[in-house]
Amino acid sequence: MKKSSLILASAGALLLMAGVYLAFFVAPDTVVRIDDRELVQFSQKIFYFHVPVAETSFVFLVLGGLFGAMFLGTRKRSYEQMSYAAVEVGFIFVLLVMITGVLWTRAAWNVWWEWEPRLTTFLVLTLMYSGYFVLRSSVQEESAKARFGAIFSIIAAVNVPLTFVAGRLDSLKPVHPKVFTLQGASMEGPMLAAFLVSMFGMLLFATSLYIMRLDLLRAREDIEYLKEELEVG
Amino acid sequence: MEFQEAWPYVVGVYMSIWAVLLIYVIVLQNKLAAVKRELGSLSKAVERKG
Repeated sequence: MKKSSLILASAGALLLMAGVYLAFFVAPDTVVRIDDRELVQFSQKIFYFHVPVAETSFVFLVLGGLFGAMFLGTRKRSYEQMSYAAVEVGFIFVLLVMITGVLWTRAAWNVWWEWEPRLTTFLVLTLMYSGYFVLRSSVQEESAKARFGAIFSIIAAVNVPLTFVAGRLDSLKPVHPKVFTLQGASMEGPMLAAFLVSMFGMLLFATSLYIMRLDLLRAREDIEYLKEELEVG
Repeated sequence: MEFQEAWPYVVGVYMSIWAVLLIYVIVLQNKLAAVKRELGSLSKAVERKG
């Protein structure tokens, strides 16, 4: 493992552990009052892991689209590799959002799935990015694979703002909670601290994964180059 | 949903995050090690050929 990715992974893991401590032992519990009874909503603790995972997936998917656009503009192979690595890491987090989201939906709403705007648009996003990998694996020629992949990564990245906005349009009757609004965060200090620590830890860990994936792609490119050298020689 | 009913979901969320991330790290590390071995042997072959 490269030194930079090792440092990032370790720092990320430490922050994630600190996030767990803050979420469970420092952040106050969410309490709801039903018929003069106070109920502690323990499932709300999922928020501290689910939301950072979702935000991290958005960051890497948007980066994937940006690098894809840079590849199309410059035709530099390194941008295509950066785009692919970012989309792959982003997709790992997309899968985690689906897993953690389904568990939270069951815990909070007592159903495994709800066809509401945020969940539906995120499902569309997941299916589109699954298509990205199918598309890449179905094209044999390297330059065409890079070109199609870059175009698809830009188109698919449009889903990120769509998913974000879908959960905020009142006309669509969203039931997904809105924590961050233009008026600020609807959280107290310790809750916000727990969230930010988890968020930052997740981003650092994801960046270390991205560096590892990029290393792998570059090493494979070196192998192809050396193989060509041997054949020519 | 109170603690008694909610804790399996909360633990499930946390464990699934770490399980998926660790599996991905292990897969990447294995692939990197294999690719670096291949890179090393190819570099030696190129050197031998001059």
